[in-house]
Amino acid sequence: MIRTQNLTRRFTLKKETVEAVRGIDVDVQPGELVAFLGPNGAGKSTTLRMLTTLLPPSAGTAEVAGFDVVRDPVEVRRRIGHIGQGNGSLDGLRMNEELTIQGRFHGLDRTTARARAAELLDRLDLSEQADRDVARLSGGQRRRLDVAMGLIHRPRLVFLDEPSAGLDPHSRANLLEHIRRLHRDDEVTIVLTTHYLDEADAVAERVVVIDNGRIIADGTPDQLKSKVSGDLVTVALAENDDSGAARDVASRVPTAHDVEAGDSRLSFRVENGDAVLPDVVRALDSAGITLRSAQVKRPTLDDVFLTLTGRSLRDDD
Amino acid sequence: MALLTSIAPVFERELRSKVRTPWPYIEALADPLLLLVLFAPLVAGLGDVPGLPDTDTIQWFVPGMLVLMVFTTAAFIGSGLQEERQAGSMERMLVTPVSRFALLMGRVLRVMAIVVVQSVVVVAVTVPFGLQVHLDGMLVAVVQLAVLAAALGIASLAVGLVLKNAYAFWGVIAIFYTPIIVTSGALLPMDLAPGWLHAISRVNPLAHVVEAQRTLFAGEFGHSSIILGFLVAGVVAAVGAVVGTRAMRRLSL
Repeated sequence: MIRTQNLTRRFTLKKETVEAVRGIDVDVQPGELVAFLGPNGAGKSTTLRMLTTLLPPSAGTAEVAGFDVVRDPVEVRRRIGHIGQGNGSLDGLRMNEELTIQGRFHGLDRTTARARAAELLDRLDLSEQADRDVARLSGGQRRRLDVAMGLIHRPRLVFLDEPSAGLDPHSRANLLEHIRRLHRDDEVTIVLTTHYLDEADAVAERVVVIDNGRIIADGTPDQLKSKVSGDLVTVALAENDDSGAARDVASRVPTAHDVEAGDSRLSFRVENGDAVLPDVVRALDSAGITLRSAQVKRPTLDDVFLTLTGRSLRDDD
Repeated sequence: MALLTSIAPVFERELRSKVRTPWPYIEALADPLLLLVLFAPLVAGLGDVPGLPDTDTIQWFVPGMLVLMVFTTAAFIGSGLQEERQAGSMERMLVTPVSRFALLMGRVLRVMAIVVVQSVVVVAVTVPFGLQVHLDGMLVAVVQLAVLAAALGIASLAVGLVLKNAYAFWGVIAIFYTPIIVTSGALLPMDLAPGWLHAISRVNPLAHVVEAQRTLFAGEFGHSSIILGFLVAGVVAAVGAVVGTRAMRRLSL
């Protein structure tokens, strides 16, 4: 669906050249749900703008839905849905008007566009507001209208730029559910950008972490977490005196690192902590160490980002 | 054909977005009608002045008002484009197969259609006050007003695209507004102007259209000012279209 090679974008601001995107190589297969995750200004949106033909690349190539974004932008536009960061509807127009006209922009005739608009409004729970001026919609409704406009021509590939930015938690959960359903039921390939960790974690099957215009990690949320820092295993010991022996046991576990013991407590990081835990418990047991409790904590994507860049994503918000 | 099917939805969207609120039309019609009520009597009271007819001030005044009305309807549409660009709806439309040119032309067509309706309204309102209508002359006059609307509209869109922010747009409008209105000769005849001011009025496209409109409303066809009026509007339209489409093609968001 998407294939980029060395995709690069430079901006010149006050005679200073800023490299917003520095050579992105990414392949997205049909049916994937990918999140571009990164802090504000990382180059996620710029990358998306190049993929959606809104911005010509300074260097490199991108093939989207079978066509080159520079050579055949119109063919790309025919085949993709784009839900931008801003507000896609104009005050003074009614919801079904904007939607029907958007369909006609895509070459649907009036009747087809109208039927498709009604179908989408129903699907996105907007039927009751169909005749309402978009100025009188709530933030969540307006955002869902944007999504509907991006889907009017049944694209097989949909881009969403910061889809839930500025929404309240309830509208956000609702929107993400619609995105998930679109992917699951219609097998639409989806690429979204976000700087919300939990959003990438909750919705995406694949997360591409972008920082400073480069891809710094790429994989399923679980892969990223296990690859980068490992799960945190914590064991509470009955006797503080066992700490030293417990440390020895933990150190022998393959891939274990950051082993710390003391204060009736043993902790270490290890890949695939869930699978390792029973072995650790047995090993501690046969070493005659009594434990009171054990827990495995998966790293968050923020741990991943922190390990990769030394910065926390949350600092941004 | 493909272009036409692209322009149609843009035109319809523009029309629908304004159709349920009367304010754009009040804004466009209030100025010329109020000038007609408040200013025309002053002009009539001037008496023997070069460039003014001895009688029938309204016959002289109405064509100028129509040109001013076209100006206030068409010259500000660039700001609407800027607003949509700022908000994000422009971006949404740019990622559709609709051509950039159609996105501009749909807006221009809307202004042309509105101007035709408004002209008929202004004429209908002023006939009871003594305006004489020569039907053939008026027909050509309305066509010319529509061409002028297209020219000013496309130029305004081009300015709106080149100057990205609203402050710059309204700044440019503020600089040009008064000179264009005053030197158009719509309010007072340019025959009164000192040489330098008269020279300025010669490069003001509106001044030529005002003269053409007055001839047409008098029912005279042979006059060269009519051709000149069309020509000047055509040149403005051509320049605006070139600058506008180029800016639109380069538009990256």
